[in-house]
Order: sequence, then C-alpha cells, then structure tokens
Amino acid sequence: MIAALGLLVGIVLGVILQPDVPLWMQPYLPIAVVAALDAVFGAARALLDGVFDDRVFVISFLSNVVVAALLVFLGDQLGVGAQISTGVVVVLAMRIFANVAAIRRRLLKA
Amino acid sequence: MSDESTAEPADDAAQEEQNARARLRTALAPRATVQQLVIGLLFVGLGFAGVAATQASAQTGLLATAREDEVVRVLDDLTERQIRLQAEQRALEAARDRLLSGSEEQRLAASRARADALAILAGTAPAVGTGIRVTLQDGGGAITSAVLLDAVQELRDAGAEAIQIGEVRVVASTWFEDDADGRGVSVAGTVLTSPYRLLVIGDAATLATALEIPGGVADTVRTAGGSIDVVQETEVVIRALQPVSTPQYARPAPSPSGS
Repeated sequence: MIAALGLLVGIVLGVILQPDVPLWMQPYLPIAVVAALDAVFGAARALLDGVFDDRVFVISFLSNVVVAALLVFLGDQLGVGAQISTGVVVVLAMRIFANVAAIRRRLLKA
Repeated sequence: MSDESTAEPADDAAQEEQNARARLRTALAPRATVQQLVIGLLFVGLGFAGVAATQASAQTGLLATAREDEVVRVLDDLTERQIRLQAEQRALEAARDRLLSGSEEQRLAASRARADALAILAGTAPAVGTGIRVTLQDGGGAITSAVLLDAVQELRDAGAEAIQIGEVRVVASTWFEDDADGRGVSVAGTVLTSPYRLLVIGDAATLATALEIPGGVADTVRTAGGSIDVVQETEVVIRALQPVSTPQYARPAPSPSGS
C-alpha cells in the first residue's frame, strides 16, 4: 500500500517539478529505473511466496540500481556502453518477465 | 539480484493460491513501520526517476538515445545537406555581388565606360588616339569600292578601332559602291573622289604593316597605277560621326545572366 502511494507521489513530483536530468546521469538513469523495476517485481513475487523481507528488499533494490549503473559506467569506460546497456536491459527484462510469470501463476494459477 | 525470488516447492496448488491472495491482502494493508517508510521512499525515488528518465529521453530526442551508427548517419545527412546549402549560398552570394558590385558611382562609371566604348564602336562619338593617316591617289580607275572595302577589312583585321574615310565614319553598316559616273566611290551614300583620305585609330605599326602585306591593298593600288601613302601618327582625331538612328524593330532583350 505504502509502496503504491510512494510510487504515485514520486510520479506526481516528477511531473510537477519537471526535473532536468544532469548530462552525466542520462545514460544511467533509464538502466537504474529498469533495475529498480526488476527488484520491485522480484519483491512482489517474494511477497506472494511468503518470503518477503523488508531489509532484503531495500538492499536488493539499492544494489540492483547501483550494480546496473556501475555496469553501464564500466561499459562506457571500455567503449562498449551501448552494448552493455542493451545487455543489462535484456537481462533485467527477462527477469521481470519471469517474475511476472511467477506472480501470475501464484495469483491466477495460470 | 533480488534474493526474494527463490521458488518454493510446488505445494497443493489451490492452497498456495489462497495463501498468495491472503499475503497480498496483508501486504496491501497500510502499516506505519520504519521499513514501510523506507520502502515508500524507495518507490518515491523510483517514480521520480522514471518520470525524469522519460522526460529526459523525450527532451533530448534522437541524438541522446541514438546508437553510434545512427548518429553517423544523421551526421552524414547533415554534411550532405550542408554541402548543398553551401553551394546554393555561393551561387546566391555571387548573384548578390553582381547586383551590388561597387558603389553607385562605380557602377555609373562602369556604365559610362561601356557606353563610351559602344559609342566609338557605333561611330556616334568622336575618337582620338594613335593610328595612321592613309592617302590613296587614284591613277586611272585604280581605286574601286572593292579596294576601299579591302582596305577597311585589312585595317579591321589589324585591330583598327575607329576608321574614317573622307568625311564618313566607317561603322558596321557602312557600304561601298562604285559611283555610277565612274568618277569615285560612294561610301554609305556619300560620293568620294580621289584622293581618298583614311584616318584609322589603332596600333600604328600593325595597321601600316597590314596595308603593306604582299598582295594586299598597297600592292593592288600600285599595280593599278595608283599611289598609296601611309603616315603613322601619335594622335589621330576622328571627328566624323555616324548619325544615331533609333531602331525601329529591335529592342534590348533581358540579358540571360540576369546581371
């Protein structure tokens, strides 16, 4: 509940404030968002499995974001930033799909 | 990376679904704990960052998100377009320079110089300059219209810029005809008789040589019993004028260059 509220508040804040993303942050922000989404879906699945833990969620959320951004940063330094970005997004998207499939099975038995 | 996603062993499926729904309901119930607050803050950050990223990609548009080869293609397109536009710009600037070359006075001076040159060519203005003075003495039918025409053409070939025969200015439309009486030559309607005096402006040495070439005008005149006398002058003044006639049919046409 509070998560949905927080998400809503964040979206409203973003729309109202129209934040300017600093240039150095622009390659990392979308990846970080996707990584955070992955953590969120993982948490939702864990919740339905009955193994959800606040602490684990917070840590996984933050580590996901940091690791994804670091990977892209490393790729940028190595000159393969675009490829690493694509790889990270593909992997995260696969995990999100897998988690959504698990959630769907738990809730809908289908 | 999310450690919660460890799968459970398959239990009784119906029971499991009930449990899942129960857990979901439990989770959705609002609780005011520190953990919930932290999670809420994380989601605030997520929503904010999501909107920011969306707007950033919308603002920066193509270039920020484009792959390298796409950027290269865009750059190529721009370069090609720039080359085209630069060519167009050069053409337009040249046209402008033609239209605006120099000040008003410079353009007037250029126009006057052109008009003067054309007036000399058309024989409507007096002319002065280096040249030769030719006197042709008839010796019993030696000087015919053909001889005078030959002389004029030789002189023109030698670079004569203005020619006067007797009191007649020689221009493009000047014609020569043997006079009906056989006593002289009609030059554009004016009957001239011996001695014929020619005033020619041009390079004096070249003009004199042109008349003296073997088989040329001088030879012809002497062979026929006449005499020719060529004097090189540093200043020959041609005062005879060709009356200006307004063309009845011809009108100036716009120049194709548009300048």
